[in-house]
Amino acid sequence: MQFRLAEHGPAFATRPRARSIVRALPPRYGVGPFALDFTGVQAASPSFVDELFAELAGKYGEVTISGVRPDMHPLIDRLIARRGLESRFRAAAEA
Amino acid sequence: MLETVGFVDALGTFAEVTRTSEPAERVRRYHPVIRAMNFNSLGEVEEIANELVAEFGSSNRVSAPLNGEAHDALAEAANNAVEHADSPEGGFALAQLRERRPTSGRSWFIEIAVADAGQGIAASLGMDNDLDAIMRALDEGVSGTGDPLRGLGLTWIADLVQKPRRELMIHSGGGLVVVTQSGRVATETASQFPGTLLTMSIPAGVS
Repeated sequence: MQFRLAEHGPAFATRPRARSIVRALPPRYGVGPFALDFTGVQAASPSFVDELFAELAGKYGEVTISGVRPDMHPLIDRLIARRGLESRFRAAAEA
Repeated sequence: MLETVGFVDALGTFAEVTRTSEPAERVRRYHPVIRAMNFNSLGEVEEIANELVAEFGSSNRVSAPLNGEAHDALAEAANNAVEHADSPEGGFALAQLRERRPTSGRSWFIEIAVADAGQGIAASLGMDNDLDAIMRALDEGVSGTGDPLRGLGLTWIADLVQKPRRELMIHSGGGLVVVTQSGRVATETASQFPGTLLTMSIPAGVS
């Protein structure tokens, strides 16, 4: 089961937005790593993504990421590295 | 730019903005995307940033990546205004597309401005010198929170202008720093900006 971030809107700007989204999710979300899908997301600020990743890591441990627009990869890679989450966050195998 | 779209009026009497990026006669048209808006909370920052994405997204001059960059710059600057400025009037933001006429052809630029009337960057970082504080704030991991995992916003905005014809300007107190692909130019200004003003300009394309 994938979590489609775009179902919460096209753009995300702040840390509280990330916290409210993650904290509203159930303790378990599908089977295996939490599957985060960025498809349809038009913009996500560094603050939002950083907080989103920190919250997801704390709640679910492992996360797979899919649907990221190419121009957003540098931000996502940088934030994962800053928090030392490389071993827990990975790109999902694309269909 | 700021005067043209009413930003100075929105700032009221507590700010004196005199800088213009180029002679007025070279400015052909401007298209406010979001007019000068006041914000006082992160919830309002979300609303303004979403409006920017929707409006730029409806323009055929702004690609999806550029729209994302404009959003990120406005969002991070506005986040700082709410979280660190301690501004009784909150912050102000605007975004526009503006047509300039360089030596040949015509170019459209995305312009973002965020201002507050708060304590300034130096006070936020516990420093005395405005110019030193701005330069320090541009370093990754420097934040008024003291958390080394924070302090990416301004660094990220500065990274966004590391491409041709892009410019970031930060004016806080008596310090003014302009960041371009060529580097950083720091200037002590005679006029004090009572808070922090950030503007970013990036080419949107040629019509």
